[in-house]
Amino acid sequence: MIKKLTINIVAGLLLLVPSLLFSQTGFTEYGLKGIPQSSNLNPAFKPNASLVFGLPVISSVNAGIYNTAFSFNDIFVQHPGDDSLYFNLTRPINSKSSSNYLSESFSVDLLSVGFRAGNGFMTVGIRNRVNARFYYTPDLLRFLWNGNGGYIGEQLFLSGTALYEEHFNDYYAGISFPVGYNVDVGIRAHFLQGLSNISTGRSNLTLLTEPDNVTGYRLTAQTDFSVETSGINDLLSDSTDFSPVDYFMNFGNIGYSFDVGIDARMGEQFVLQASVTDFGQLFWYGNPKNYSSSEAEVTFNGIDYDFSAENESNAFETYMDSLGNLLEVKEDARVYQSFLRTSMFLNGQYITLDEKHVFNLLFAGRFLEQSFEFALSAGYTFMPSDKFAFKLSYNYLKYAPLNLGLGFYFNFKPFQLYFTTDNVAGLFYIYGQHYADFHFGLNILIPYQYKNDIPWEHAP
Amino acid sequence: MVVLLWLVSSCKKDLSTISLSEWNPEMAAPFVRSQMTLRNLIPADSSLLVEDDSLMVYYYQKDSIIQINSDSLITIEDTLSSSYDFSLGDIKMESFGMEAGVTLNDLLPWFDEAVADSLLAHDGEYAVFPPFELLEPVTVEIPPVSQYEVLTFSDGYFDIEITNRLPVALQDVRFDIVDVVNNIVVKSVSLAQIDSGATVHDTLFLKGKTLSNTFSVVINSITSPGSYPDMVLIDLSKGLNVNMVARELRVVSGKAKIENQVIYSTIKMVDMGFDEARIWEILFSGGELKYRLESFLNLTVDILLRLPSADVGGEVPENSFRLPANDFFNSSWSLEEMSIDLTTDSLQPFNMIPVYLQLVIEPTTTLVEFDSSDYVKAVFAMEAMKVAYASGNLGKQTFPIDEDVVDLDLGFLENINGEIIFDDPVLTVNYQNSFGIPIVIHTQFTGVKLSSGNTIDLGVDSIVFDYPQTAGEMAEGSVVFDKTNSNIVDFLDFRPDQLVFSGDAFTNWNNDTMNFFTESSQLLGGTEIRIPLVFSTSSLVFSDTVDFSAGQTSLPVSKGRMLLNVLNGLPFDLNLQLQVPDSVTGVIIDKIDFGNIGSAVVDAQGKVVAPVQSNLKAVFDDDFLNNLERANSLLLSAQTVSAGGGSQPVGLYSDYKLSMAISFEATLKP
Repeated sequence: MIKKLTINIVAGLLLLVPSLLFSQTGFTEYGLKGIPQSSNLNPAFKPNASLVFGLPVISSVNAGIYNTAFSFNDIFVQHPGDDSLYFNLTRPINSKSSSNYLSESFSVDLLSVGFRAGNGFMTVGIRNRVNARFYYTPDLLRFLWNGNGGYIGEQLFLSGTALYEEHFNDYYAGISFPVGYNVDVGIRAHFLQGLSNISTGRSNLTLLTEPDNVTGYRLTAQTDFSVETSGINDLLSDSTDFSPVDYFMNFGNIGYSFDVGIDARMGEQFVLQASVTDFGQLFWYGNPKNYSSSEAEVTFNGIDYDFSAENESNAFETYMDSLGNLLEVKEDARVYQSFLRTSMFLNGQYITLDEKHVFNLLFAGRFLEQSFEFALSAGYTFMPSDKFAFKLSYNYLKYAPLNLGLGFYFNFKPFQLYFTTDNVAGLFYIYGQHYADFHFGLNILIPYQYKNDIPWEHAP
Repeated sequence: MVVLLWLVSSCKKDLSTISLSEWNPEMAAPFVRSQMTLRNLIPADSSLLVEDDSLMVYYYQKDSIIQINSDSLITIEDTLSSSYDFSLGDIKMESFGMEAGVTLNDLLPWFDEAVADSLLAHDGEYAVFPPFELLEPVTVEIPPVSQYEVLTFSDGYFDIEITNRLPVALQDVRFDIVDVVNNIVVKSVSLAQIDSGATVHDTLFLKGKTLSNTFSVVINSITSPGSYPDMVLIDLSKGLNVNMVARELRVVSGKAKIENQVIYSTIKMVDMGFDEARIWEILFSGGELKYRLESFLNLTVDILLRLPSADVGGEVPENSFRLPANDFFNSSWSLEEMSIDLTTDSLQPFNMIPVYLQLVIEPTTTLVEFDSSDYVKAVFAMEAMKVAYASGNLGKQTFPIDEDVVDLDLGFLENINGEIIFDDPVLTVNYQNSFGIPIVIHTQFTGVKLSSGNTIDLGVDSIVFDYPQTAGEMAEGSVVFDKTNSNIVDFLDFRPDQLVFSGDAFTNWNNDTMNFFTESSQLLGGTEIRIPLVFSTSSLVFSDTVDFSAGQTSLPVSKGRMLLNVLNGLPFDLNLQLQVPDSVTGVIIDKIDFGNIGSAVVDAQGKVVAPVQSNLKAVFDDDFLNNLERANSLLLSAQTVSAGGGSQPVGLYSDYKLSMAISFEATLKP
């Protein structure tokens, strides 16, 4: 069962391979209020539009991937003169990182509408979002690459290996409204329709291989783990029974979240923006499946097998079954809840007096299950008019410190095309990157003023 | 969309060229713990037993390789018949008598006239009796004897008594007794003188004479001197009396009234004909003694049949019946529960059944013709005889024993090649003998190997069987053949497929004693072969085939090592080898040698006292794994040498075990 679970989870992840091409956006886009979708990062952001209509899917396609330990090229090595790619984990194994993870996300707007409401700006919409994170330890990579044969007498620490995934439809409604002078506050409420989830609860895993005078070798493992899932049972058991209709129309799992933000102009040239997004949780009621094992210590000395008897299975099959049964994985169907990965942003801007140049410094952070992921971004925005803006940014992540970001939007009535990426190199050389992301879309945008003469207070 | 296409094209990598060839993780893990007892190494076999002390013993038993029944020892004819003719012979006749008297009155006509007148004148007076003389013969007729008409005598006497009742002496008395019918003079009597009142006797011996029943007395001469000077009473009614009596008569033919008499009271012997067997006493459990008596007599005969030496429930079987003249009579005796003493014939005091017959002629009231050659025919037939018991002496007889074949299911040795010297095998012949007869069987035990036709002799000459001393008892015994008195060790090493048994049985081989047996007597013999697995060997190979699923060969392994930790509780050094045969040709295409596993420590009696640990390693590579794909079974071969370099016999106990743990170190090729 574990084997099948693993295979299907990997397959699920592989289904998201296209998303490997995309990154988790935010750093370059943050502050580009001319892009209506930037309000996803701060609900206080108001676009310079009286009406925004996001066409299904093409108005917002947003994805990203971040792997702390290695890039594609780090594990698929090309030898000179050889066209083949050789799978090799030597480089990531030799990294000094104590905890690694692979994070990916993807979202599309199914529908979005934004409109002026007095001094405020309201947004409603539906987004389909999927996030996944896989935590792995260096010992896991060593075990995977070298096997346990090279670690006789040495305990392999696999604790912290974990997988998280949430896929949901996000039904939201938000408003940005002025509070005081030159301060906009935004708040957005989300109704979440959970589609699928994987949440790792406990993950206390170790493996020790020791020589034994009687049995040759003895395996001792700590196998204390729990994984909660919902919405993926059909995929795990038999993907031929998977019904996309049933999957997407499942309202058995519900949740909520809130976004809050503030956008404050301080003086003529300084702006302070802060926001907290994805503060919420999902309740997984619909067909949950929980897997757990709480063996403090399991010792395996081989199987007892009678070669002379007529056995239902041969020795190898019995051996594999025995290994599988060692974990004593319990299954139940308890409902559970998961929390969204709350993000926070703090951005400071300096705007030139002609308001054509903006410099910003952004601190972004996200609360992950086992860590707090942060990023720093420094950007320059050139806004020659209200129809066009272009931004360059330098984005720093702990395990991907060199990322040159790029973003632009172009309004050509009544459409707006926009694109942002926090790592341009990830577009051209994804296989060598730890971090890559992408956000683009095509909106129908009716400017607030259908002229280039944009009031100062509504400058992007 | 343009941007997206640009991104896709820029990201293009030929993922189909990804190779995992540098990914060779090494795994080390325990695999299997297994325990083998000797019952695993030696295939299950219904003939392989475990004794109380756990010693494994090959045990084979077959009943009835020897079976001798009572009908094998003695042959009883289906029908045994005897016939006897009982001739009438000479029979007894009742005595009879005749009387003839002649008075003076009767004689006067034949006297001188003057004498006659004188006698007439003085009749009744005392006077001087005148002398007289018979002038002519006088015939005195006698009435016929009513008892017979004619008889031929074989014995008897005819007494004649003459009495002179006259008052004067008679002289020159001459008369004839004449058979009137046959006109023969039966007896002539001549008397010189018969005094007055005197009686004279004469006797005629009748043997050989045939006489009718009618006689006359012809007085040829009588004279008398008279009584002068004496005065005597002259009574003309007085005269001469002739009395005749036939006595002690035995006749051989004739026509007469026959008196009641026993013509036969005799014992005839019926010979049971048991060939060389001499049976003294026999008890039947079934059968019939039929008898038929047919009369060729004109007489009714009362017959008494008896079996004087027989007994049925305390009673002597006998039957009496009337056999009418010229008629027959059939009857029978059931032989069931009839015991008969067969020793009553002094000339042949065995095998003889005495039959007593008494034939009694019933008296006739009429005249019956008869002849001494007339007879009664008696036929005795004994049919469907079943002997419940017999005693006697069978003599020295020889009986062939039917050949029997015992299939030796030495299956437990099928997987074992090489020389194996069993220490104490035993072949036992168990028997039950209810014949009270000394019997010896000269035996031939031959082992046959069917594939080659080769044979080996077990080296057993003969088997002497005990026998009971009292009827109804059974002697049981066992004859044991081991390495001291047979060739059994080599016999088993030959590994025959069959044991062929044959032989000849001899009775009374040692002496002539009284033998007995019953209907149910049998000599039954069965054989047991007991082969304790105690043996020595220097070249014994155990081999076994392990089914090998093709799926196992799909393991992503390039090379590795198998580690065997063995705790050997068997009294053998074992050299283990795993052989890979080609699934099509059977040729061994690869093998792994695990090396030598030391024998357990054994004591002087060859019993294990402590197991011995051995740690072995065997390397396998990619070639071996490739060869595995061509096999669907594996041969595990263990070459063994028993303790002491193969010189010390060791016993195999079922609780001996060999424990092993297999672990592996493998380099994977995912």
